[in-house]
Amino acid sequence: MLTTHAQSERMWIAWPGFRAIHASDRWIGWTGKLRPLCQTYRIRIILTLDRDVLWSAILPCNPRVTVEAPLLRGRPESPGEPIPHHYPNRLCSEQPVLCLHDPLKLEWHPVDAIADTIVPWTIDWLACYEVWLATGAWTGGGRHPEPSPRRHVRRR
Amino acid sequence: MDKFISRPGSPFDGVLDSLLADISIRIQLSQTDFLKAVARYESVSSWIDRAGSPLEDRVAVFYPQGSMAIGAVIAARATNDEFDLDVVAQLDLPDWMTPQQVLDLLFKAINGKPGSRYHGKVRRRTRCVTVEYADNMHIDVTPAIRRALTPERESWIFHHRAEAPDERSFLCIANPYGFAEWFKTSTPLDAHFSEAYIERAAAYEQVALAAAESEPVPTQQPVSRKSKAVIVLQLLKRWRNLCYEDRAGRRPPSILLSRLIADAANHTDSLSEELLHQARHLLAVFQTADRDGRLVHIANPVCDEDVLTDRWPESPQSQQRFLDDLEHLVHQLERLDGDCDLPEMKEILANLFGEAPAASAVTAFGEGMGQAIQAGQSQHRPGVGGLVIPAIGLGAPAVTAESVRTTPAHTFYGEERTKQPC
Repeated sequence: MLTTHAQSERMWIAWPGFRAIHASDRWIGWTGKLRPLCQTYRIRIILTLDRDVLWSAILPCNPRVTVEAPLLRGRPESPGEPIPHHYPNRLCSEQPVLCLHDPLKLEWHPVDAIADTIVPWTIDWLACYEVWLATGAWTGGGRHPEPSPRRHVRRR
Repeated sequence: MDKFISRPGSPFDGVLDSLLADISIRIQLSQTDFLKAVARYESVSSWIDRAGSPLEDRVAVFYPQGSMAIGAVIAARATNDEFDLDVVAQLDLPDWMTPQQVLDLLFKAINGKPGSRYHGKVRRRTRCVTVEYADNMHIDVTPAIRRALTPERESWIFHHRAEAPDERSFLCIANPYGFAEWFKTSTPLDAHFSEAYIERAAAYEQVALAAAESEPVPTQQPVSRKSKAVIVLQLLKRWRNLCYEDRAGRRPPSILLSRLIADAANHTDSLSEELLHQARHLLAVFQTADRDGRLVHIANPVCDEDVLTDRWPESPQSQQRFLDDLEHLVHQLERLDGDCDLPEMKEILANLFGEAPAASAVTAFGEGMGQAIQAGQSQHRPGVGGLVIPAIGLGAPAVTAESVRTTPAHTFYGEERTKQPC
């Protein structure tokens, strides 16, 4: 597992425009700007640290990336259509959490530097999001989890 | 001989440059149609000169002029399938012939007898004779008589309106050949840029042909290289066509735009910069004329008597209308140059260059980018956070600059409908 110090140092080198917003033994976070295509976004990354490394790796939205500005929006041509590949954010519904990697494939592990994985994946996500806004198609692929089997309600 | 300027780096790795290139590819004459056009004008040339023709052995030279000569042919209308091509038939005729006689003679020579090749497909116009093809291609053949003791191919051309017999007919001096040569010299090729563009155009045409044909399509041979300035000229002609689509009267002639663009060519590093630079230059030229209270007067740089603005602008009002269009154009391009997301870019590009090519370019961009991400070939620039736009989808060589990193493969996950707490 990469230490918070090592994560911060890697972020500082690769993304000098990002600012650390907190660092403790429980979580660490950064905020900064990305311009994947021609729109600049301010994003926030929070990495929850857990003693159980495996649990950290398979948490579906850890590290947790949200877009602070401009707020993500749906397609005006298709009201009610949800933004693809996000988790709802209970704390702030306007800032859904981006689904950047598949936890079952263990694509991200706490030994991986956020600077080299989560930030570039966020760039990919934001670019796909803009294409989706413009065309209605999410071209970057991905996987949606199988819906849970319905519970059978026993009737008396 | 082509003059080259060498510059490292990928010319279309910015999203706006990539979209502008793709729009220009979608509105221009395809390589297939270019070859078809060349075959057609050669066929018209030999037809005029055929045994028994009123112009038998009278065609001294037959050569393309205007957009065809400088490789800037685009669709004539917003629908993208109508192309007007211009050629000059330099004829060995006595110089006492009137404009009406010359134009009528050329019409008679091409139209031929009933049942012959072009009979009934030819129109006599004010300065040329038009051959119309069933696939919406038109070839305008302008008759010309060489002026003795003047620079190469400087000629008389003829003006006579058959539908207004009382209107004065006259001769004009023109040198479209000299203009095309001057234009090519003034807009030298950037080897790296033009090679990348031609590859992109060939790839698009390959896909378009494959979609239209059931048989395997042979690889298309590149026909002509283009400079940034020529591509910008294509885009600005397209914008002009859309502005004037529903307006009566004349529109700013293509040769005028060509002259002004060549005057200001080669001061930028990218297609998007060149477009904005040229739009600002055009605006400045018209603003200056407007401030001075005069109509713009621009001549062929190799022939002062060949006035490119002889038929437009006809009035201060027509000049003012174009000036307003140019101000709007510059404002829109400046918006594209700022912080602007893809839907907004698409909207602006559709407004300027047409809904269909803009939508098609954005869709192709999204597909290429998505393929790269899914194949684990996505690239980014650390520090600024810019996505590196894939060259032409999968299989294209990755950018190898030191400032570029390959993004590790990943799979977007999650179900937007899942109410999964985090």
